Amino acid sequence: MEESTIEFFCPVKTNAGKKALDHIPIELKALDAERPIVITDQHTANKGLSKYIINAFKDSGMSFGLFEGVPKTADIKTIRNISQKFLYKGFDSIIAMGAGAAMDIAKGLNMVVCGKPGDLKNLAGVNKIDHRLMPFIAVPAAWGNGFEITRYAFIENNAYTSHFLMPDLVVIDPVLFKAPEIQLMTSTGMIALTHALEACIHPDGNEFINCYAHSAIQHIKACLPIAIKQPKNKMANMGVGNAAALAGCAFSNVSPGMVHRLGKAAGTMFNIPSGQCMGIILPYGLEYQMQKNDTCASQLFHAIADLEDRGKTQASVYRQKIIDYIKSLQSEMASLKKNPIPKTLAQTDISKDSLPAIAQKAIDNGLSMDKDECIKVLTAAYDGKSLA
Amino acid sequence: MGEYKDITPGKKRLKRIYTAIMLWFVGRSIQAAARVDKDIKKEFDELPDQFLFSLGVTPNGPRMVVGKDINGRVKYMGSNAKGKAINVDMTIKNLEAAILLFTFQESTAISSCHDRLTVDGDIPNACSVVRILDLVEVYLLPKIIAKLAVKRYPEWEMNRKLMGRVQVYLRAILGF
Repeated sequence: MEESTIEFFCPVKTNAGKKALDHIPIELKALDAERPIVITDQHTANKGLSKYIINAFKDSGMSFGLFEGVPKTADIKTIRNISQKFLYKGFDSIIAMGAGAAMDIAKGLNMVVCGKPGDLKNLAGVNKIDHRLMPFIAVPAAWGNGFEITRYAFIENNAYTSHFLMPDLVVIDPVLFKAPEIQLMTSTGMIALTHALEACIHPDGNEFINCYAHSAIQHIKACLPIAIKQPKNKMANMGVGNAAALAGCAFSNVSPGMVHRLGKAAGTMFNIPSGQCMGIILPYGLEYQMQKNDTCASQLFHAIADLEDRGKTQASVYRQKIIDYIKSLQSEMASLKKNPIPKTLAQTDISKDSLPAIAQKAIDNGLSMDKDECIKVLTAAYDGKSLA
Repeated sequence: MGEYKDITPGKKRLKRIYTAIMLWFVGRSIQAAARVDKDIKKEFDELPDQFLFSLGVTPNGPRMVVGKDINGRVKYMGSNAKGKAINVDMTIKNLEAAILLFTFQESTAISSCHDRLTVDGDIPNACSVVRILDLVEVYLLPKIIAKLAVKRYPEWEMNRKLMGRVQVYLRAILGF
C-alpha cells in the first residue's frame, strides 16, 4: 500500500433524534455560554417552527434573543444590524435555525462579533480567520442546502472558507422535518448526494472522508425515495437531514467538485434550488469524471452498491450501474404527480443559450476545468443524453 | 430590527410537578423495596458504607437522594442534594427527557443510549443503581408497562411479585 499523509477535520458534535432540540440549553452550558441569539429566516418563522426552540428553552433558566427577519440571501446590512443588537444585549453565542441565508448570516455575525465590524470583507477567501469564534449551534430544517455544517459561508458575492466557521453543534430534530415542500427536500437530498459522491472521488479524499461520504450515500439511498413518496414520514426526512450533515462533514474536507460548481452556478443564475440543478447534472458530471479517470468508477460503485452487489458485479459495468442508479432516482422524482422534479435542464427555466454563461460563472467561482468541457457536460444535462 | 424579540421562555409546570411526584415516589419505593426484596437488599449491601445516589433533572429540576444511613439502612433522603456527599449522581439532561423516562416511553438503558442521562460516579456503582431502579419499577408497574421501562423483565414467582408489590406500595405511601 502506498504511504501517504492524510488529514481529516470535523469538530462538529451532532445531536440527532427525538427531542434533540431540548438538549440545546445543556449543550450551551457545556460550551460555556448562557445567553444566545437565535437567528432564523422568514420561511422557517412563517412555518411556525420558532415555537419549538422557545419550548426547548422552557425551564432552562436561560433567556435569548430571537431574530426572524433573515432575507432570502445573506447580506452585510443584516449582519451589521444583528451585530449591534448582539453586542448591546451582551449575547454570548449564536443559534441558527432553518437553512441557507440564516446559516450564512449566523456565520457572518460570528466573524463580525469576534473581530471588528469592518473586518468582514477582509476575511473573504480561504482560511483568513485565525482564532476561535463564539459558540455556534446550527439547527437545520428539512429545506437545508447542505452548507449548514460546512466550513463555507456565502455573503453577498463573497465566499468565506474556514474551519472556524463550522458549528460546534448540529441539532437535527424530527419536529423540524415535518412535511417539508418536496422540491426543497429533494434539493437537500441531491446536494448531499452530490457532495458525498464528489468527496469520494476527490484527489484529496481519504478513508476518513470516505467514512462520512459512504454513510451519507447509504442514508440517501435508504431514505430519499421514502421521503419523496411520503412527505409526512418524519424519520425518512430525518434520514435525509442526517445524510446532509454527514455529507457536509465530508465536503468540508475537500474543495467543491465539478457538479457542485456547475449546479450552484446554474441555481444562482436562474433562481432554482441549487440541489435541483446538481441533481440534474450529477449523472453527466460523474460520467465525465469517470471517463477521465478509471479509478473513479470503482470508488463510486463501492460507495453506492450494497455488499452483495459489489461481489457479483463485474468492473466493466460499474460505470453504467452508477449512472443507472442516479437516473432511476431522478425518474422517481420526475414521476411525482404533485410537483415533479425536472430530469433535464431543458425542463427548467434555463435556456440552451445560457449554458456558456453558466460554465463561465462556475469557472469564475473556482472550477478548474476547460470551458468547452463544461459546456459539453451542461449540454448533456440539458438534453438528457449521455456524453458522446 | 422589527423582527427581533427578547424571549423569556416560561416553565413547564405540569411536567415539573409530575416529575417531582414520580421522583418522590420512586425514592420512597426504593427505601421500601430494600426492606422487602432480597435482591435489592443484596445490591445495596454490596455498595460502600453511607453510599448516596441522586437522580434528578438539570437545571434546577426536581431531584431525589437515596442512600445508606450510618446504620446501613436504605433511606430516601429528600429532594435536596446540596451539602450531601453524593457517590453516584445521575442527571437527566432536561425535563422532556425526564418525561420520556417517567412516562415509561423509554427505559433507563435506552435513555442512557440516547444520551439523555449523564452519570457522575463509579461505573460499577452506577450499574448497581440502574439494576435497583429496574427491580423497583417491576414492583411498581404492571407487566405491560414495566416491560417498556426495564431492560429485561424478570421471571418472578407470582407470590413474590404480588406480595412484594403490596408491601412496597404500602411502605412507600406510609413511609416506613
